[in-house]
Amino acid sequence: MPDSCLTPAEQERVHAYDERTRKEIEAAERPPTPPDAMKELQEALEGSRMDCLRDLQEDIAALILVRERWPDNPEIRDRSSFHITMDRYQIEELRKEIRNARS
Amino acid sequence: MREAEKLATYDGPDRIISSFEADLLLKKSTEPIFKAKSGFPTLDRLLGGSFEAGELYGLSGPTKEGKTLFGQSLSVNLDNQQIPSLWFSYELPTRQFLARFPELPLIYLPEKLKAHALPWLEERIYEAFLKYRTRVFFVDHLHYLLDIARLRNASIEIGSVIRSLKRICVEGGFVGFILCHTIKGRGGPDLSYESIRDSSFISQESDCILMIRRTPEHGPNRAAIRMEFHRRTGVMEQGLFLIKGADGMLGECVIDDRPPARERADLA
Repeated sequence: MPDSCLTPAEQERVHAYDERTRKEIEAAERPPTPPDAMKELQEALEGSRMDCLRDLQEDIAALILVRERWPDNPEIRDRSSFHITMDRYQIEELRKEIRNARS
Repeated sequence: MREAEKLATYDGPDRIISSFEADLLLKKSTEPIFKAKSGFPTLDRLLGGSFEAGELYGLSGPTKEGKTLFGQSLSVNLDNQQIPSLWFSYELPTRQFLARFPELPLIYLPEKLKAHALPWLEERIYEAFLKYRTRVFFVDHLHYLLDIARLRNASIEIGSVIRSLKRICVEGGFVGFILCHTIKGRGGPDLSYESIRDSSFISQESDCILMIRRTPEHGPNRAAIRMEFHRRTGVMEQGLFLIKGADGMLGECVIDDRPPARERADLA
């Protein structure tokens, strides 16, 4: 006699549902974060994102320096350009995150 | 006598050397020359390929004719080559200045501006270079570097500012753009470098003067930019047409000024 009439996939879904419900109940019972603490948390998060953004800008500067130093080396040029593009992408993402957190 | 002996054996870094020695020293230098394309094909051709380190460009034109927008478009084109630029936007508040970019490029600017302070400007140019490798700077516009209230001889003082900017460009290997107004009412097709307000020194000390004006006769959002001269390339009075694109930035366009084919045949 099987323990359950549910298929393994269905059992998995039920477990996931139970887990989600349990977390939601826990969250509802938890006392709300005081507004001041929330504000502090947001400021700390923004501060760390801004630090990250500055690090990326400095990284770009270092990559430009490398590219300028060896302008005739295509491998260095391509690799530094690629990494600058990646850094720029990350800067864009950070900007979005900061703006979303503020709104 | 002692002074003469001292000079005869002087061996400092500023000693007099021959052209041959200078040439050999330059060839020995491994420091590559910074170059950057403008992103406007005709302008790049007139520039002999690109802007080069040590050059100071004067960008002028009547009010509201697109000087700042052209500078911003250049910045975007430089950013597309992963070349960040530094802006001293005195004329537009930072919020407005940044809002005019459709998509914010990576440029640098001081958090707070200080007017009438050339040593401060020089320090910030070096700060931006050392921190972020910015080799191109824009000053919008020249008259903010002067204390108009205390100005006794505008022409000479402007000359001194322009000379200092040129020195900064040469010593630091920067490319500088200085935006300046024209004399009131000196617009229209006869606009030339002689129309620049207050000082002939601007033209004399710059490597190149670019004059911009709107050309509504060619349609809406059209402008023309004319290279009055370029010291390095020897170009005189040649230009290109510009159009403001959907993204709000300027791009090059071609305008056929020739009469229609039928008229051309009649003329022949």
